[in-house]
Formats: sequence, structure tokens, C-alpha cells
Amino acid sequence: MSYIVLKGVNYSYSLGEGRSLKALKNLSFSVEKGSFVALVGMNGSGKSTLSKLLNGLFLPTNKSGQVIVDGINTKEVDAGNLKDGDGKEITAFDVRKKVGIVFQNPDNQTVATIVEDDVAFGPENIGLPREEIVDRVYSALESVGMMEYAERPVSKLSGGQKQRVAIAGVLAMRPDVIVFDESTAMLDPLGRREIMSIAKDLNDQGITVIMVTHNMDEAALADRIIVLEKGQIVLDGTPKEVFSHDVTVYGLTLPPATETANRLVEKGFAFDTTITNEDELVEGVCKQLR
Amino acid sequence: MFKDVSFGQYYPANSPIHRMDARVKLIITLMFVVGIFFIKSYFGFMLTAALLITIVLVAKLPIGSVLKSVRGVLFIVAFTALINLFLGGENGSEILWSWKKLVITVSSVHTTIKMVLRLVLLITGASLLSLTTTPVALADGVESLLSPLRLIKVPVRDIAMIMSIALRFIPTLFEETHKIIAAQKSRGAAFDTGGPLQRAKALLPVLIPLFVNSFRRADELAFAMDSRCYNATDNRTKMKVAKIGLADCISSLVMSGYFVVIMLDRYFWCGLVDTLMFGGLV
Repeated sequence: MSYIVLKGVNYSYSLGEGRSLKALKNLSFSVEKGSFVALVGMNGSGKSTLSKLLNGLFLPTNKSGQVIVDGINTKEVDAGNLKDGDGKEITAFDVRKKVGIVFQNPDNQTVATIVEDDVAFGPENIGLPREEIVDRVYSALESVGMMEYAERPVSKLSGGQKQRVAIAGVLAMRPDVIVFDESTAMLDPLGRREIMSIAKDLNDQGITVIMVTHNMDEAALADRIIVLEKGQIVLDGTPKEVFSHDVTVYGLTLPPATETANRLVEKGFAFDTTITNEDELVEGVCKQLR
Repeated sequence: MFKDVSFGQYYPANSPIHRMDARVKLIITLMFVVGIFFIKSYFGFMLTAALLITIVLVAKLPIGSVLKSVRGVLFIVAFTALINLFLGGENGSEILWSWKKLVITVSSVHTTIKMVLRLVLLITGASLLSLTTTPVALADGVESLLSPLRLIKVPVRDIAMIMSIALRFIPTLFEETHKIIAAQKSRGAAFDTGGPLQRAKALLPVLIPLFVNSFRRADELAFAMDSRCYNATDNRTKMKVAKIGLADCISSLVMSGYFVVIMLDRYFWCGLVDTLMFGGLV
């Protein structure tokens, strides 16, 4: 079932004096519930803009463009003309409860000084009862492995740990989808690996993960890769399909494993070039040695 | 240059002082700040120092981090001391030293010592509040104390949020300042040479990127807060609800007792205790 559906979405930034910058052009795609999607593209390809459209922080700037999250059209939410079964108005909060975003800079998304206070920020905002907040905060900290840091100041943590706290903050909202908006870009390799393994775990638990990145090693872990260039989708498919194309024309690199396989083929080895990760590479090399 | 500023930084520890209700701590601190300006005798300052030392011991704070907050205002203290030393004397007091129009008298020396004591104790006392209270608790306390103002439509919740975010970003911005200074130094900027005016000018290339980055941070923080459903309405709930406990009652009593003694010393005993304790010295 499609959980998020985009139909003909345009987004342009106003630059003043009547000029504008088109970041996204006529974008249509849908994301299945429980999938792991990587959004890749060069700087300025529109991937960060796209992630902000997914939970209604941004709205399509063209009239016909629509972003529909679990049946809720973000534009109509903004206009305030949606009602749920009990006649209560569906608000932007209802969309943001479903789709959480972990941003790039760990320092700029922490609101409170102390870890547990920060994780509690979201649940407090949606007005949950106290016991429920405590429950959610600790189970969120548990699932990112930051339980023992609950009462520490955020400023004393490492980048990877700060980002784990940010993930916990999103998890405490119990979202269906988590968007990682280049959340690993400012981390060291160890921090990156931690975040990726948490993302993978969450996906295994049934949360839909949308990973915005320009690290191809990370993208290769997804079920599906969407390549953006200049605000348009140029490739969309499984990692094997995407990396069988020459992605360097879109300013991207191949994952190191695929790159190695390609070079081996150039040197005359009979090698499968559709591999995307280290394990497959090792397996391939072993076959050659036999 | 900005190293080790501890003012406004929470020091986590498990103590009765840390567990106290932030509202009580805020009121007590306010009483302390008002009280310290009524002190005129050395006895009063000794009593205050004893009170602060007791708090530091009970709160299990390392003495170093308490003194760091004083270091930040050392310049102001020194400046005030100099002014008082030359201008703070009463007419007719015994002259100790004079050169042209500059005169140091016995009474100006006393005024100076008291002024320094007052400032140092004031800063120490005020920093105890932020050292033992998390910014969120502090903001909640302010929100709760100011809540009557909501009747006249003051956005108390937003003010409390702004306050807690400001406190939250103090360490982040200091760290950033360090980085910018290091970056500018590595490109040959000189911050430690030249006169005061030149040094002030040298800070400009630090302040500009700091400001630009702060705006960028604010922008990103706003997106992050929006994504996590921030609103300042009555719908908001709290994870930690402050409760008045035994420690709050005891400390309120101690503080009230302190306040009464300070007032008695000032208006009824009129320096009697000083004369008894220090004899002819004062």
C-alpha cells in the first residue's frame, strides 16, 4: 500500500523581485509502507526540499501539486478543511505525528539541554499524559541505545550520540515514517555506521525509512533508490538497477564495491558488476580464486 | 578568551538542592540578590559566605566550577574596586595615601572591600541557581511564576521557551566562537596584540560569522521544532511536574531566617556585631 503519494509537485523558492528558483519540477512518486527508500542526488538537486514536503513543512507551490500522507492531503490540512471521523479538524500536527524528520546538524535540532527533556519535547507538544510521555521517552532512548545518558547534557555528547538523541526525539512521537535528511553527513564513519544500523533496525520493526544522502554506500542498503537531478527524478529502482546505470553523469559515485567490480571487469576478469555491497564483492573475489 | 565560562551551565549531581522546585529556587535567589544589597557589615558578608559554602557543600558542586563564574566578571569587579578606592571615601575619614586629587582613606578602603565582597558573593549566589537547575526546569519555573501575567495576554509560554533555548545554546555558541577564532588565527588574524581599540576591531571578523551562523541555526531549529509539533497552547503537557518537598520547606525557612538577620543587622544592631567581633578595626 502506498503510504506517501506525490502527484505533480513543483516547489520554487521566491528570491524576491518576482524572481524564483525552481527546486522541484513536476515530481510524482509514491512510497510503500514499510519500505526503505534512499533519495540521492547532488547538492542542489532538491532532495532536502523534497524531505520538507513530506511532512507538510513545505507545501507544493503549484496549484495541481499534491502531497498525500496516509490519505491526508497536506495542502488541505493547511487550509483547515479536513475533518476526521469525530468531526475534529485534522491539523498539520497529525501529519507530523506520522512523518518525523531527523535533520543534518545534530546541534540545531536539540531544543532542551538535557537528553530526556529533549526527547520529551515532541510528546509534550502533542499533549500526551505524563505517564505516557515518560514511557515513550524511555522506550525511545532504549531503542537508540542512549538510556544511560538520559540525564546528561546534550552538549557533552559526541556528534553520533547527539544524532541518536535526535532520532529518539522523533521516535517518541511514534511515527510511521522517519525521514533522515542527510543525518549522517556531519558524522564520523563510526557515527554514520551507528545511525545506519539504527535506521535498518527501525525499518525491520516496520517503520518506513526515507534516507536522504549522498553517500552511495548508505544508499546501497536501501530497497529502492530514487536519483534526483535538478528537481526531477532521473532514476528509480533497486540498488542493482540504479547502479547498473552510469550514475556519474548525475554527479554521483558508485558504491565502492560496484566500483571495484567495474575495474576488475576492465582488467579482463569475468565479474558480476551488479553487486552493491562488500559481502557480494568478497563472494565474487572468492569465486575467482577458486 | 572565552574559555570555561560556567555561568548558565548546569552541573548534574544528585542532591537535595538539585531536586528542589525551580520556583522556590528562583524566589530564594531573588531574596538573596535583594538581601545582599542591604548588607553593610562584615558580619553580614561572613554570614552570606557561610550560607553559600553550605549550599555548595550540600549540592556537591566542585568548588572550581563555582569560582569559574566569578572569573568571568573579574574585570568588572576590579574596575569597581578601583573607582571605589579613590572615590568611595567619606569626608573627614583618616587619609592613608594621596597624590594630587587622588585620595585613599580608611573609609574608602572599607567601602571597596565591601563592594568586592558584595559583587563576588552576588555572582556566586546567582550562579548556584543555574548550576543546580536544568534550563528546562528553570524555564518551567519562570513560566509558572509569571503565569498570572497571562491574564493580561503576555505570551508567558513563549517567553519561557525562548529563555530555555537561549540557555541551551550558550555552550554551542561558545564552542562555535572558539572555532571561528581558531580559523581566523590560522589565517593570520591577531587577537592578542595591539591596543584595546585594535583588539575590539579584530573581534569584528569573529562576530559577523557568529551572527550569520546563529540566524542559520535559528532557521534550522525552527524547522526541527515545527516537525516535532511545537505549539505554545494549553494543549501542551509536561513530563516533569515540579512538586514542593521537604528540601523546599527547609531551604525557605533557612533563607527567611537569613533575610531577617540581615535586616536586623542593618537596622537594629547597626554594626554592633562588627564592633564586637573585630574590635577597633572597623
